[in-house]
Amino acid sequence: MTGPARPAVLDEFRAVLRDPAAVPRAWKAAGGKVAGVRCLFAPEEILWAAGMLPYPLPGTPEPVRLADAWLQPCTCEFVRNLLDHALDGRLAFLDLLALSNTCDVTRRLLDVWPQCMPNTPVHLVNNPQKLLEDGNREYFLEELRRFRNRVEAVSGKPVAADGLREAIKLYDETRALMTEVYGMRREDPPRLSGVEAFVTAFATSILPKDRANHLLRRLLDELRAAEPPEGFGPRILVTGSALDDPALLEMIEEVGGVVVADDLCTTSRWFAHRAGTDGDPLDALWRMLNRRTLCASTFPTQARFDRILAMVDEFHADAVIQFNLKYCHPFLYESQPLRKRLEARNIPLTILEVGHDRSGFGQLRTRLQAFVEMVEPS
Amino acid sequence: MITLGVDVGSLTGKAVVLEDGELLAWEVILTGPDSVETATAVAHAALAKAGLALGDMAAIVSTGYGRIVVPFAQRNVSEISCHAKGANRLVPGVRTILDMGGQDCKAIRCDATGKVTSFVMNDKCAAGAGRSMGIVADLLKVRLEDLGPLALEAPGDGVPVSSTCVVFARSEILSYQREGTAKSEILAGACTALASRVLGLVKRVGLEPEFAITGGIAKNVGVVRRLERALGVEARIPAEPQIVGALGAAIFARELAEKKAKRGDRGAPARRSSLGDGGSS
Amino acid sequence: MEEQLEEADHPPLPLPDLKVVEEMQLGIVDGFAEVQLAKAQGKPVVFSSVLLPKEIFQAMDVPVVYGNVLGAYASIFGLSGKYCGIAEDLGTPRDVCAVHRCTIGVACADERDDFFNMAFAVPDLALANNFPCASEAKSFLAVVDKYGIPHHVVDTPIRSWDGELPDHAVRYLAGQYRGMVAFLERHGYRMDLERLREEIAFTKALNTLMAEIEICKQAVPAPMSAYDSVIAATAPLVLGKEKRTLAIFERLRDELRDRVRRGKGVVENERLRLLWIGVPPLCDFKLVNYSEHRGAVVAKNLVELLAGFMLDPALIDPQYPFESLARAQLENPLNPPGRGLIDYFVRATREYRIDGVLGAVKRTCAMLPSVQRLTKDAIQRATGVPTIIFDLDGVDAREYDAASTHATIDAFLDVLLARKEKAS
Repeated sequence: MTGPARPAVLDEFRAVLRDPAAVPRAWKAAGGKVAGVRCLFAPEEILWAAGMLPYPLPGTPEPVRLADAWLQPCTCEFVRNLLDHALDGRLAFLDLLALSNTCDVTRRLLDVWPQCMPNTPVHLVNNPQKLLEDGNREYFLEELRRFRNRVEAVSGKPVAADGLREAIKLYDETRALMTEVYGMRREDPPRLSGVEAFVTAFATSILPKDRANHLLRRLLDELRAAEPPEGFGPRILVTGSALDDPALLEMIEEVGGVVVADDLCTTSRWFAHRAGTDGDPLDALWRMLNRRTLCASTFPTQARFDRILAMVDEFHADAVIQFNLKYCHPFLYESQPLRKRLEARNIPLTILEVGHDRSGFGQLRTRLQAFVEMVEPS
Repeated sequence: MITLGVDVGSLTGKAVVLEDGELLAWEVILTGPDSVETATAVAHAALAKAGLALGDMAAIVSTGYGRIVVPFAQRNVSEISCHAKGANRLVPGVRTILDMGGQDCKAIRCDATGKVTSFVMNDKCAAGAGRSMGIVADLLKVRLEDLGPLALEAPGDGVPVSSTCVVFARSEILSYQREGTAKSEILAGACTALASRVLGLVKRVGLEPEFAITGGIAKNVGVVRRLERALGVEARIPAEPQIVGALGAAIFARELAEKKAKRGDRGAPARRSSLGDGGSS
Repeated sequence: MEEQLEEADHPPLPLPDLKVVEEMQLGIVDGFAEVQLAKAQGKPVVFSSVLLPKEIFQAMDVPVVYGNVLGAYASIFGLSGKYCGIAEDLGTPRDVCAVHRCTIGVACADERDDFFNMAFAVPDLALANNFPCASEAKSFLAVVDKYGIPHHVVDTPIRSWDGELPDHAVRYLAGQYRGMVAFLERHGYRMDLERLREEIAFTKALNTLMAEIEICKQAVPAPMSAYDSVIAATAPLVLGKEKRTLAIFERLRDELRDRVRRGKGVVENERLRLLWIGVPPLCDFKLVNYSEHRGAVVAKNLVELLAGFMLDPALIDPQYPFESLARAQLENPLNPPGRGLIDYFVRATREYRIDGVLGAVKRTCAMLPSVQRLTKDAIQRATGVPTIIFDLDGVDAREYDAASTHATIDAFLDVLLARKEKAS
């Protein structure tokens, strides 16, 4: 690449993305237990406090093969891809699968997963979908207690309040560091590219957080010392359904867009809020989760839109790209209402349908390029 | 100042040579398996007509799905921007453009300068695109260029043909044939289906006159008349609807050359590229 | 009714086999018209999901437009292509549920066909429910946006727990229903708890009747056609008026009991009994009766669950109205995960003496099709009865192909008949 040298620590994050499963495999080899996690309402802190490695399952950009025998072909390609991993043995190291109550297809895993990996227990944290409500506290806390009990049973280790508080402290630190890294994208040009930020956030979500925090501190130091990269072209916010592949962001930046912020469950959604260590730790987790109105499976919808608009302001975005993973119904339904909110503020938006296996990327490139050309000052 | 625009599409390659904004020469050829060869061949063919060579060009811009690989272009611009730009030249005052190519179809809105203000593209499925007409023509053993006039022979909208899926439409058409339905009725149905499919695109982008149709299907009166009826406006069809994209590219090339001249040929600042082999998992 | 529809150039609904069901069909149409009366009186009209407690609406005298019922009717009248198209022009993606696309089209259209001018009124409030799928709670956003009206979401947990239903879940959902009442009270309606208890007692009585009707339907030969079952299952949605509804269902039960006594079936020589586990073919409603020409009756149909009336009367206690409603909803077989539905179908296969299962897969459904595959295996294991899984979008007419559907069903019937011959 041309331009000033980039922080060397980024290579460590890139290495994680090349083979994310190497992280849980190493953990397992050292005698630890691993919990696959899907969606943001099964708190990783509880798993970590029980000595387990939480592994937010990433997919691979390949066509679905085996899973179609279990999930119908017109449902989420990401979830079907994960099921492929379960079926062909790539997830054999899992000791537990921790799910959240989110979209139809994720919930369906409760039926299908036990057929595909019968020896791995599955637990679904039945979180309320309606958040920002004090009224869900009793219910949600009971769900968190039940999750804790299940994790204790699987891990064989009790999760005491002190241990959980320590885990929250560690995770809060990760979230604070990530927020600081993302803050550097407010500058013009941003201190790190959209792809770099994505790789950092995604790898951090996979790594044990003590290790990740160490790397993030190094990254912050190196970013402060480095020359900012050259950045021209419109500043873009990317929002949408699950993105576990940097290819889309690479394409946006290749056709001249500068991705200055992202609202994704693999990135900023998991570090958007902190729990704090005041009072009962489960209560602290509830307070944090009750604010995660960041997924289209949650309510109120307006809260999600408000955050996107706030991010547009905070990161000085010129335009928004919303991508929908093919067949991701919750986000598909919300794209038009989001368009209306953005149009009211005169912020250009394009809505893209993206195949998890990168199918249709040729046409996607044309759409992205035309969109960047459209929002570029002529 | 002479510039060249090359449009490497899925079915055809197009090239346009412009001198000071005036159309000097153009060429359309069928796309071969190799986009680079197609681009090179069509560029040379157009240049030969004008008695020029690549070296005579002040700037060259490529567009179309093969735009990225054209080795002699200084810049590539998406076909959406190019169609708006080209249509703006050929149809003065145009604000909404429906471009129906072989593989995809897009509705574009633009301002008075031909800059895109909004656009919608069809789904990846071929049902909304020109290729579906090729399939229908093959099935009914009609020449593609006769398809439109034949479809107009049917008084109404023809028999119902699926607008959702080409595979589906194919089986429907086969059963109509077995039942002995008149060709013109089936063709009218196919044109109605295609028109209804792309109509949605125009509605989504918002129709504002002047309205122009570009791309190969603009030549199919069967589809065009149905679209006009449904939209309640007359469509302007450029004389050579297929070369609109290449013309737009040539205009972009001219703008590029002018900018370069202004900057004293220091070259455009490089965009930040993506990070090599970095992120892929 | 028939005249009206012909005038509007819609395919008329098939005629029910039973006289009493024909009466229901006419009553349904009258029921739809009531919303216009309420609108004229200035009452705020609520746009709602089907699977919210109707007892609450009735106890509060709230006029309701059940959005997806209208979407379903658009398909039944052959208008799904048109209304799905309207929704798509508004930006609703083609990959989302066809019923909800139709619903958005009907609710957001600038002009509507005759039937909808009667059955639809511009809503003043909107209520949604995320049960049993995301579409239920997400499709209403388009309507809320179009009319800029106050809205409220009821959050229903899935039944993820093994064993007994836990109390925290019942309390949570009961609280959600109280929240729905509070929302309606903020907009001018009053809850009368005595009325609510009466409504719940009515539901209990109705469900007891429906359970008796189901017992009749288990008889060989089957006394009730699939089409009649569908009409009867959805009738209470719009019939309202407890006494009349109970009376008509009593007559239906009695008529069926009489048929069972006389050994009279819907087909002359019943040869096969089928179970339909997919979304029914709304745009070609006759299809549920299609197999009858070969002596095969669809004796049991998923749609009977979809209208939300097949609740277990044992779970309903009028003394605890909200908790009863919550319990019944959480235990509804439609509530994910799939084991509720799978058990329901396995039981039905035995109880209705099913010979074969029709598993029509609606492409745009994210919820049911994957359960259908598991259901197929479970029924095979438990009873040996075969299931055919086949693609059928019977909602969006543009994606529906009658000929290939008939061919699939006929081929399956051949297999079943051959099996039966071999066995005897």
